[in-house]
Amino acid sequence: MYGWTGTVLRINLTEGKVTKESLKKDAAENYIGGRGLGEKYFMDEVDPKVDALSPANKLIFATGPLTGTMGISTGRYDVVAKGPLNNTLASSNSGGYFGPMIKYAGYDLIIFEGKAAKPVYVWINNDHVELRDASALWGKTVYETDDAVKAETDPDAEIACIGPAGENLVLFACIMNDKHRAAGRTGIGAVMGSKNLKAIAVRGTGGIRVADREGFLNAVRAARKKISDNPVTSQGLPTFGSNILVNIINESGALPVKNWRESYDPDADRISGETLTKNHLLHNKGCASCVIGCGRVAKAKGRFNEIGEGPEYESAWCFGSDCGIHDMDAVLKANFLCNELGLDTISVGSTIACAMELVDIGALDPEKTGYDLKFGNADAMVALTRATAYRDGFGDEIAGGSYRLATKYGHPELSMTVKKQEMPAYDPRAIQGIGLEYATSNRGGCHVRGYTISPEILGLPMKMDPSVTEGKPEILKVFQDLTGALSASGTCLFASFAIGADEIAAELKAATGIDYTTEKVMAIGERIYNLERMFIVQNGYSGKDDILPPRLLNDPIPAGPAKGGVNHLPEMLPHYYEIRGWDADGIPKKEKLEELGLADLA
Amino acid sequence: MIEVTIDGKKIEVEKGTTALEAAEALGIEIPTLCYHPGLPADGNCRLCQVEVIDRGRKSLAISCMYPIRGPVEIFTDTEDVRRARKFVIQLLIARSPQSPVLQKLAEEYGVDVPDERFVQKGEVDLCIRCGRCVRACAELGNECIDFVSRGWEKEVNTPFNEPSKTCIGCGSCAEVCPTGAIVVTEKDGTRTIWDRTFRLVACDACGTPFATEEQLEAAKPEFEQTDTRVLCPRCRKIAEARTIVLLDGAQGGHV
Amino acid sequence: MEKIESLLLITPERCIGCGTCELACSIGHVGEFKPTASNISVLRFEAGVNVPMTCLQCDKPACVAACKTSALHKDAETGLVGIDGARCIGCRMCVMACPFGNISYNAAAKQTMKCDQCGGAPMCAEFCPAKAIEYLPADTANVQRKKAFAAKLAAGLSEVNV
Repeated sequence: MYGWTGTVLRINLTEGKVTKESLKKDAAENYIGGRGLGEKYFMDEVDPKVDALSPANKLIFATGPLTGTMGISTGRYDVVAKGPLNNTLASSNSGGYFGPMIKYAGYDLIIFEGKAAKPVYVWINNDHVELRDASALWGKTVYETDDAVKAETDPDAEIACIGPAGENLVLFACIMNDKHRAAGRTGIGAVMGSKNLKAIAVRGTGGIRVADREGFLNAVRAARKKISDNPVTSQGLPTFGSNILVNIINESGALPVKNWRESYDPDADRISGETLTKNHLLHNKGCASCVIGCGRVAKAKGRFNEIGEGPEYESAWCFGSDCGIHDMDAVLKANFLCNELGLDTISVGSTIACAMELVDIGALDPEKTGYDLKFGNADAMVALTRATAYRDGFGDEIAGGSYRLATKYGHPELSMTVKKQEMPAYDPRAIQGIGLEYATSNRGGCHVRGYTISPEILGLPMKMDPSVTEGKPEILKVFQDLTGALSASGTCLFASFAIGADEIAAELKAATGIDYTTEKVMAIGERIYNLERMFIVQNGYSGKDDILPPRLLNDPIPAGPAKGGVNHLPEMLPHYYEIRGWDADGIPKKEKLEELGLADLA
Repeated sequence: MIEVTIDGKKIEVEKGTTALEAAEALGIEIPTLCYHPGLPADGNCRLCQVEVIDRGRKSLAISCMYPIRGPVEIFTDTEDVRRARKFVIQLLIARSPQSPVLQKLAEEYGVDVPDERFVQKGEVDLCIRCGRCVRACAELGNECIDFVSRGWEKEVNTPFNEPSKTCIGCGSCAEVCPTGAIVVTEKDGTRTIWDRTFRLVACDACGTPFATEEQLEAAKPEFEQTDTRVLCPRCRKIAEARTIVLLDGAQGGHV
Repeated sequence: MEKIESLLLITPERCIGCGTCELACSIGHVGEFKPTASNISVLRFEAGVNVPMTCLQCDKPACVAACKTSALHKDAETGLVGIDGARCIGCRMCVMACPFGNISYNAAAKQTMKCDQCGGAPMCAEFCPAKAIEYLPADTANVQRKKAFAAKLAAGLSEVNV
C-alpha cells in the first residue's frame, strides 16, 4: 500500500500476545486513518457500553496515511478509547515525533487489549515487539520515564507514556509523547493506566512510500504557498504560539475570567503570547514535518526556574485568567507540571477555578481542602495541580473533574462543562458559534472538533460576526466534518487556518493512489462525526445533553467589549440538527446513517 | 581519441580505455564477476569475454583487461561469446552449485546445474576464486589474504591458514565478495573474520561497540583533536552539532 | 574552490526541529519518506536548540584522503565531494575519517551515503519551513557565512581545513 503501511499491530496485554494483521483496506479508504480509522476499528471491536477503565476497553494508537510524510504539518496521530471522564468516544490528537515513528516501524494502528498483570512497557523495534517489566518505572514522572525507557531501549526511540496521573486514574490524565506533547482530553491516560501499560517505545527505520511522488511534492508545494501567504500560520503562530489569542480573545470580550463569572480581563496581557515571547521564550519548535512551528520552549523564571514546553492559549487561560492569576511564571510551571505528570491542562485548571469559586461562595470550606483557594493564589494553583496527579489530599477531589466536584458541594451549575468535560477558553456569550460547538461536540466541552473561532474571530477563511447566530450551524458542520478528515489524515488542525479539504484531498490522492476528492474527504469527515455520535447515543447521550452551563445561557456578560451577551443556543440547535440530518433529539436519522454507509449503527 | 564500434554503436574513447569501460559508457551490459571498478582488473573469471574484430581478425578477449588501442569492432553477445561464457559458468558452478549468483547466470546462459555425482561433497563452497577480496585487501595496504595452493586446491586464505596479524577487521573483503563467501560475524562486542576475533571499541558517549581498535588506528586523523574521546560517527555528529551552537549542557530543560 | 555558484547554508538558530529536511532528502534519494536514509539529520538538544547536520563539502576532505579506491573525490568545478558508488569497496574508512560524522555506509545497500546537494537543487533547502537551510548564491557575504559556520565547528578540532 501507499501512504498506509498496511499493517496493524495488536497487543493483548492480558495474554502477553503480539499479533500482526493486514489493514482492512475498505475501512482505510472510507475512514482514512487516525481518528476516523481508529474509531472505526474501535466501534467494530468494542461494546460501546464497556466500562472505560476495565480490561474490555481497548486503546488504539492510530496514524493516518499522511503521518510521517512531508505533507503539511503531518506529524500527528490519535489515541482512541472510551474515555473515563464522560464515557464518550475519546479520540485525543497529539503531535511530536512519536506518530511518524509508528509508521517508520511499519504500522498504521497499534491496538492494545486487556490488562497486564503487572506494570509493563512495550518495546517496538521495527518487526520486533516485546513486553517488558515496568515495575521500576511505575510512579516515575513522564520525563523520568522517557529518559529511562530510552536508556533501556534505543536513544533514537520515541516514547509515549503516562505519568503518575495516568497511573492514579485521574479522570483527565493524558498520554504524553516526546515528553511535552499530549494526547490530552477525556482521560485517555487513565485508560492506559488501567491497563498497567506505562510506556510505549518505538524505533522504526523503514520508510513510507507514496503512490505519486511528483504529484505529492507538487500538492505540498501548492499547500505550502497558502501556509506562507497566511498571516496566522506564517507569522502569528510561529512568533507568539497559540497564546497569541489571549489578547485577541480578551479584546473580543470572550476571555473567561474566574470560572467564567466575567469575560474580560484588564490584566490579560501579563499572561499573553506577546509577554511569553518577550520574557520567557527560548525557541519555537515544530512537530515532525511542521510548516508552522507554534511550539514554545520557554522558561519559568524566579522561584520556579525551569525550562519546559508551553503554554498553549487554553493552558495560559485556565491557569491564568480562569483562576484569576496573572503570574506567568506560575502559569508556565503549572503547564510544565501537567507535562511532567501527564495531566490535561484545561480540565485541571478549570476544575481548580471551579473549586476557587466554590470557596468564594462559601460552598466549600478552604480549611478542609488544605489550600488557600482564593482566586488569584498562584502558589495554591501550582501546588494543587501537582497534588491532583498524585490524588494527594484535596487533589483527589480535583482528579474527578469539576462536574463531580461541583455536584458534591451542591452547585453543579458552577461546573463549566459540557457532557462533564471542561470547556476551553472562549466565552460563547460573546462568540455564538463556539457555543454550538461546545454543546454538540461528541466528546463534550471541546474546541478542536469545530473551531469556529477561525471565522468568528480570526476571519479565516471568511469573517463572520461572532455576536450573531445566523450561519453558525452551517459553518460549524463544515468545520466539524473538515476537522474529522484532517485528523484522520494525520494533519495538524492548525494547518486548516490556511488550507482546507482541497489540499488534504490532493495530498491524500497523491499519497495513497486512491481518488480522494474534496467531496469524498468531506463525506468521510461527516461519516466520522456521525459514527462518534452513534457511540455516545448508545451511551445514553441525546439532545438533552447538547447544552451549555446555565451561566452562559442566562447570565449576561457583566463587563467588557461583549457586555450583556448571552449564548443563544436554542436558536441554533434545531437548525443544526436539521442540516446534520439528525432528529429533534439530536440522534442521526436512519436515512442519514444509510447515506453515510453507517446503516449497521441505526 | 579512437572511434570503436560496439554492437553496432559507435563511441569515441581515450586510448587505453578497456572494452568493458567503453561498453559501459554506451550502456551495454557485460556480465562480470571478478571485475570491480574500484580495484585493478585481474581478468581471472573470464566471464566478461567479448568478440573483438581487429583489422579483420576475430578473437575472444577478456573485456575488463582489453585496452583499446585502435579502431576495433566489438560484439558483446555473439554465439561464440555466449558459448565461452557458458563454459566459464559451467566450470564455476561445478565447484559452487549453491551460489545464487552463479545459479542466476546458469539460468541465463542455459547451463545445467551439475549432476549431484559431480558436485563436491562436504562443505558449501561459495567462493569462485575471483580474487576481489585479495585485491581489495591489497588496495587498502593490509595484504592479509591471498590465493594459496593450486588447481582444485586453490583457495583464498591468510598466511599459513592462521589469523592474520595485519588484518584490521574492516570487512572490505566480505563487502566486495560477489557470492557472499566471506562471513563476518558480530557478537557481544566482538567481530570475527578469517578466524580472527577483534574486540570492538565502545563509543565513549553511547557505549555502542562500533569499530576495531585497528580500524581506529588506521583512520587516525593527521590533525590533533581537542575532543579526545573515542566517538562513534553518530555521537561524533552530535558532539560537533553541540559545538556549533556552543552548548555545554548546562542550560537545562528536557529534550 | 572555483566556479561554485551556490552554497548550502545552515543557520541552526532558525531550526524548529521538524525534520522536514530529512524527509525531503530521503524522498529525493530513495523515493520514500525515510529519515534513516537521509543524508542530512536534525539533532535536537535541550532548551529548543536544534542543529541540521550534513556534509560541509570540505576544501580538504578527510573522507577523500581516506578513500583508497578514489570512490570519493572533490570536484573542482562544483566544489562538492562526490561518490562514485561503483568504486567503493565498503572499507568505511571515510566514515571513520569524517570529523563530523556526516558520511555513512548503508551495509544492506552496500552504499556510502552523503549529501550531493541533489545535483544543484537541494530539496532540504527548498522545503525547510524555517529558512534554517538555504541554497544561496556564493557571493562574498554567503561565503563568509559558510566560513563562520565552519569556524564554529573547527573550534572543536584543530588544523582541520573545513
